[in-house]
Amino acid sequence: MTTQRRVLLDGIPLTRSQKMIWTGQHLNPDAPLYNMGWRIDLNFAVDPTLFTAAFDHVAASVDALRLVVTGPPSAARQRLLDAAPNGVEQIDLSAETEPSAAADQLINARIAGTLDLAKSTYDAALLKLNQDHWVWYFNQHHIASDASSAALIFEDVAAAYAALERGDPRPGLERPAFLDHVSAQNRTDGPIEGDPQPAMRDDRVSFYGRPSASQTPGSIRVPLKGGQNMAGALAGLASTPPFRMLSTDMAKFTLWLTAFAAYLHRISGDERITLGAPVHNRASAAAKRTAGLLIELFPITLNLDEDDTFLSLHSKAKAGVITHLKSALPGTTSPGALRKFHAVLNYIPARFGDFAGRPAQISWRHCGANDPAHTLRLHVHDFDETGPRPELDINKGAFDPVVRSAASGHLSAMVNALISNPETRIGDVSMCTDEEAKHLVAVGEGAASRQPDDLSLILQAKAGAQPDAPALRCGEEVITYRALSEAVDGFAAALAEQGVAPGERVCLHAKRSIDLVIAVYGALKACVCLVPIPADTPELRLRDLAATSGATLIVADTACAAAAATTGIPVLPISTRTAPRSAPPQPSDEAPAYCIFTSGSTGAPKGVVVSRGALNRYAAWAARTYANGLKGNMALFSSIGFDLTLTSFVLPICTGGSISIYPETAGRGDLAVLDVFTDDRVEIVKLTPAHLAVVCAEALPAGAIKTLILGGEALTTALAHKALTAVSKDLSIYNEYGPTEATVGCMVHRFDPKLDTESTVSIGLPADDVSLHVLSNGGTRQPVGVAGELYIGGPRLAEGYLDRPDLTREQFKVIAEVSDGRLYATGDKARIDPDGRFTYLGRVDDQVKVNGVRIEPGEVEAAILSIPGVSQAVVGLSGPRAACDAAGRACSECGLSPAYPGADIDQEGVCSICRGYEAYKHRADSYFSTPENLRTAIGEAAARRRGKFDVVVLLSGGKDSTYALYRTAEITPDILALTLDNGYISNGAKDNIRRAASDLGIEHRFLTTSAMDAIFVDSLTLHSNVCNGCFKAIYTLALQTAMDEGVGAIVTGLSRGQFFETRLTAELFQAKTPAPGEIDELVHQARRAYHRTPDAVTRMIDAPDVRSGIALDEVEFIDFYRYVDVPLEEIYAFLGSRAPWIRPSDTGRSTNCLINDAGIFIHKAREGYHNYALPYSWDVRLGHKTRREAMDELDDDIDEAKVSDILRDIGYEMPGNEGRLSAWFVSEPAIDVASVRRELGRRLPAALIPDALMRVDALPLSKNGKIDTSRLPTPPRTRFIEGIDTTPPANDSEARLLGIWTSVLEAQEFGVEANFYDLGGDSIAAIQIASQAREGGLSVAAVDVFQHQTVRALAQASAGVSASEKEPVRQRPKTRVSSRDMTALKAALAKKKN
Amino acid sequence: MNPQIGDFITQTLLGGAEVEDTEDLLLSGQIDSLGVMRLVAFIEQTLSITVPPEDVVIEHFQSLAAIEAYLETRTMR
Repeated sequence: MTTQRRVLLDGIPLTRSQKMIWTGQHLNPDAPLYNMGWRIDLNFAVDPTLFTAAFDHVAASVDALRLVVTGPPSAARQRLLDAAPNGVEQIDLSAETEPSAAADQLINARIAGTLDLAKSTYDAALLKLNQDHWVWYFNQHHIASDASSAALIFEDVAAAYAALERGDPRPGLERPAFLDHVSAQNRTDGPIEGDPQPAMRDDRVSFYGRPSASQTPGSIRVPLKGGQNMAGALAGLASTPPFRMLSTDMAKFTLWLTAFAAYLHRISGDERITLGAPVHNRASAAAKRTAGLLIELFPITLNLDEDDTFLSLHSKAKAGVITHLKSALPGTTSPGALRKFHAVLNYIPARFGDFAGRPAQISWRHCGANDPAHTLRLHVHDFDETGPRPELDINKGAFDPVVRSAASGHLSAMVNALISNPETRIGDVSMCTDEEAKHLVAVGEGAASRQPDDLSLILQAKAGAQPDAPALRCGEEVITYRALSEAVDGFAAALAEQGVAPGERVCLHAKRSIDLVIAVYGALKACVCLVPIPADTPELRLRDLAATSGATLIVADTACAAAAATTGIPVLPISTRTAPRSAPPQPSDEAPAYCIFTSGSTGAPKGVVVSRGALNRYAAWAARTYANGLKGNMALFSSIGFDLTLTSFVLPICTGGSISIYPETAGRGDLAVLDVFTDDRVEIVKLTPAHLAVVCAEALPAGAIKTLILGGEALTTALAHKALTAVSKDLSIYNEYGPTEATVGCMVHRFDPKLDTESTVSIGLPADDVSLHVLSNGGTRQPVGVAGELYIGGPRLAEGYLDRPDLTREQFKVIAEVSDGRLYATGDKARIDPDGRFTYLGRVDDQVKVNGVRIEPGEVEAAILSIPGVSQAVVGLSGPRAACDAAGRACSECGLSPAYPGADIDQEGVCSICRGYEAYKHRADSYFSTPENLRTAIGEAAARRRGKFDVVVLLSGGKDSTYALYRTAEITPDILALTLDNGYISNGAKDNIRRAASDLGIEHRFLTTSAMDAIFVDSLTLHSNVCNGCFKAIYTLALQTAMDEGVGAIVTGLSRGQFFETRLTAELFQAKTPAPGEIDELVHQARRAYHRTPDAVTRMIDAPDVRSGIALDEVEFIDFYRYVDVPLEEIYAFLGSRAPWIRPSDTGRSTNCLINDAGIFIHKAREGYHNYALPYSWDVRLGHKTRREAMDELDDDIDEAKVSDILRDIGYEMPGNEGRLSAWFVSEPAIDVASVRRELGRRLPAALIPDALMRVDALPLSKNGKIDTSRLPTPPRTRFIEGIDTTPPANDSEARLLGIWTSVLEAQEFGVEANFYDLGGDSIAAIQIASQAREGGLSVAAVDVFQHQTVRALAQASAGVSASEKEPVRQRPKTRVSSRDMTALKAALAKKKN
Repeated sequence: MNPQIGDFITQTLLGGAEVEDTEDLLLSGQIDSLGVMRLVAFIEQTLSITVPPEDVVIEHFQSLAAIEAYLETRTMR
């Protein structure tokens, strides 16, 4: 049978390209996504009868015009009609007042409609404008055409018209059949593996700060201004070296690619730019003459770096284009490849020519829509050779109108920059117009121009106006304004008497007290520059800072006096008062007010010197902004070394309110913040998000406290919400942003629980006197939405760094194009949103912030290196960062990420798990069995049955379990199918489940539990995923159901990959081949251990037979895939033909569960790798996925907004800062982690001591000799402390407390005499311990944990005050046990070996 | 010239058209840049060599003679 006949009868499948178009159309059935419409103006007296006959003739001879397509995407066919489906409609517009406009209107309307591909793939009309001007409207669906194809059909119609005109009744037209091309492709094309859904895409790419998700198919088309000139200039360049290439089209394409990639780089900030470019696929002589869809879209990737010029990028583009064309073989594109990009460069070399010797104008019409995956598409074409007109399609849903209107201008700016000087650095191109730039400078308004009064004068004035009003409180002691003013004068006089001249620096080293506030104002009065050094500063560092400051005097309280004396600088007791002998010096705005030390990247802390003028401006603004109708009473409870604390010193004095002072609490963690909220006496509290989290954890409701000012680090929306619940619903929450270099705070946003929906709260708008700029790395303005470095200008800037003019020049720059005055380069990444607000996006350098404290890794590294015996050290955040960098070095066999613990990749690039498996896979074969034995096992279960079912089958609704169910039903009809409805099962999966059950006529139940949310939260906390909790809930509920129903066996659909992942581990096969019975016994033991491990499931699901263990003895597990080995294609084929199973399209990945994304997001953030990394690597090892597919699927991107909604719904709070400060070092054998930690304790403040320290043999280096942080091992989340106490608990309360400590402190096994601090305890851990102990009926406060630093001491302290020993105690695991089979099995094995 | 490569050019790329050895195939548009790239892929596969991007220039591919000369330099190495 010939192809043609077969096609007539049955139809033939679509090519890959066609399938993707068909699927895309299916997903958006009402959008004209793939209409390719033309307006062809024929400027001569067309004979309409001849034209119609010519078109009919072509339609009858070109097979691409006679195709129709039907069927669902998975089984679509194309059939060939006997005759052309439709002819040319004739429409007379000559009577219209403006016939040409009427034609446009008609075309626009027709092109925006969809074609019914079951009937025809095109629409054609001949419009008469006047006798000598006709328009041929021709619209073809892309599924059967492309631009070159349209040009061929144009040529044919023209030729047929000419022939008919000559009187030739049957013009001979010969075109190769498109269907021959289709058949040839189908022979070489494999089936499309994976999901042919173009809707699944890489959502990480973000242009103008907008993630590419949430797009509609609608798009607008904008011509590039001056596009024709640009194209001309590029064409000129194309013929000269170094831009010349094989052909001028190739050279022009490469130049456009260079400019477009540079533009995409600038608007996304990505250094790796992937865009799609069609390849026309008409290389052979035959293909050149074939009409139909031949083009295919392929991705092309360019890597840019900071220093790239257009020229250097062009040479990368050249190589990229060559590789692109070389590898773009027909039929090789794939959905996986196509979801990698969101921008398309559509350079179309097709030419139409004239209409049989008569003039024709060709214009390609935009149908108003395009593939929703494409955010931006640049078209460059010149169909009728009147000069190219570049046009940009912009997705309507993607951008705000502000961005939409500016985008094409930005692209033009890039193209013009390339043309005018190819050696321009890409970062230096200024993309914004002057008009745009006006809107890109944010300047705080208000009382900007007026220089506010000096703080010391304000205090004096208040003392005169309200002498008896309380100014300071500490405990029961109250100081009035009059008393404060007098004490300040007395202290200022004491400073003068010491001979300290105005402008000199004086250190302040003391705890929080009334005297401390007096000393601060006294220093201001004496016009000296204060250098605060917190009381808890280690001595070595105190000496260092005091020396660096060049202070001539150190003020200290009694607690700090001894340490202060070691500096060698004269000490002045803080309580000294002297009668003033002369008038105080006149304050000047330019004089330095204070110098605060922050972490310095070179190892030495740097002192930021701030003038009185800047401080006064901040104080006045803060009072205006935050005191709104309040007295301005504030709490002073945080460290004086942190400029955030200054607000509490200055705001109350400006408003005439009072400062309530909360001294440091006992123990190492300063928990004074809790006293502030317990006391609930002040109105305004300024605190860090970390402190707020502590307050929320303790649930301290407040009434007097009305306003919170958050500063120091990014505030998450979840935490802000939590504060409204835990503290007070009437709170005003302000998010203040500002580096020390711009005086405390220079931007603010008032949190709005309704409008603030992003995961972090906006940093809002600039404060008075502050100008803000977002600049590229080349110092040019970034457009709205585009991330850049935040620069701050205005009179609030610090003077600079103490004695560091070099550093000052580096950070405080004058950029003439942007601003007249100095600008401080914050190193913070931010963007301006279309509404003018700013969003904070992290750091541009490697500075990190942990719990609000700014840390330069270099400073910590320097401290580690100063320990004798340490030779190398590197410090960074571990966790989230590791994941991003590791991707390139995945296992070359299975694609496993090196971030996976123990994945050790060897010299040949192969991971240890692949290597291990090679060694034991033949031994593992003995575990697998045969379908006959499956029958036997089910038969045995049937014999044991006490009710009406032979077996329970666990049905997730996915492909594996559905297949297992169908095949089990062939053995027995008495099946009870169970599905856990966790509340997030996709509707598509549920439909599949219901259909399968009714198709098979078996009983099915959805199992539910009201504890699901708690189980998710517990699973996220313990395992950083949702799956562990869900799995255990399924097993528990199914076991209990089996017991209740008298069923003897549960059939699972675990895949073979899951067997290897969880139970057939390498250890099992180390020495010999174990007998299957032996493995079964171990699996059984592991299962018992698994169900005994306490967690939310064991706590909250009522399953008495599981708890007692009876269920595990009576119910057998039959793993279907242990008995049946079936390739993936066969499962799909089976499901496609036998089962009413449709791949769910509402989950966005190959899973049935909508909460998965949340689990993946948390896992990546906390553990640094994808939680499917290991399971997928097993799928690859067992041949169920290719490495590429596994890696593509793992390279998913998660909709953060959806994730935070889900997390809020289930009640999981994402910790604000997921990264842990980690240090890796190389040292002599004698220097271990514990000794490094001890030494660091002497050298660094607590906040700078890494959470995780790891000793390594060598630091991995990259090719260019730098330390390759991506290859550093992830430090274990649990802490390993050498020589820690392991004394077992002696009584019940010790045992209970030990359980709580273990779960909170994430340490390895330790005993009741181990010290809280040695275990890495901090204030947050103390809070958690206390709150869990209270839930368990033990009376423990957080402060108790600091005072009684071992489990034993704490148990003794809480004894006697125990709330109720009778109340059920919340069980916690004694040691942290990972609940999946693997760990339990390993433990069981370890015991067996002993 | 390697007969398989010769066939690929004359049959597949040129559709059996007769051309002179020195006739400019690129300039005349008989082979376009994609055609050359397909040829490069074919050469790499047939001769098990790699044609580096810097070798993909007009001079090496503009005529049958040029292609032959280029291949000679590559196979002599």
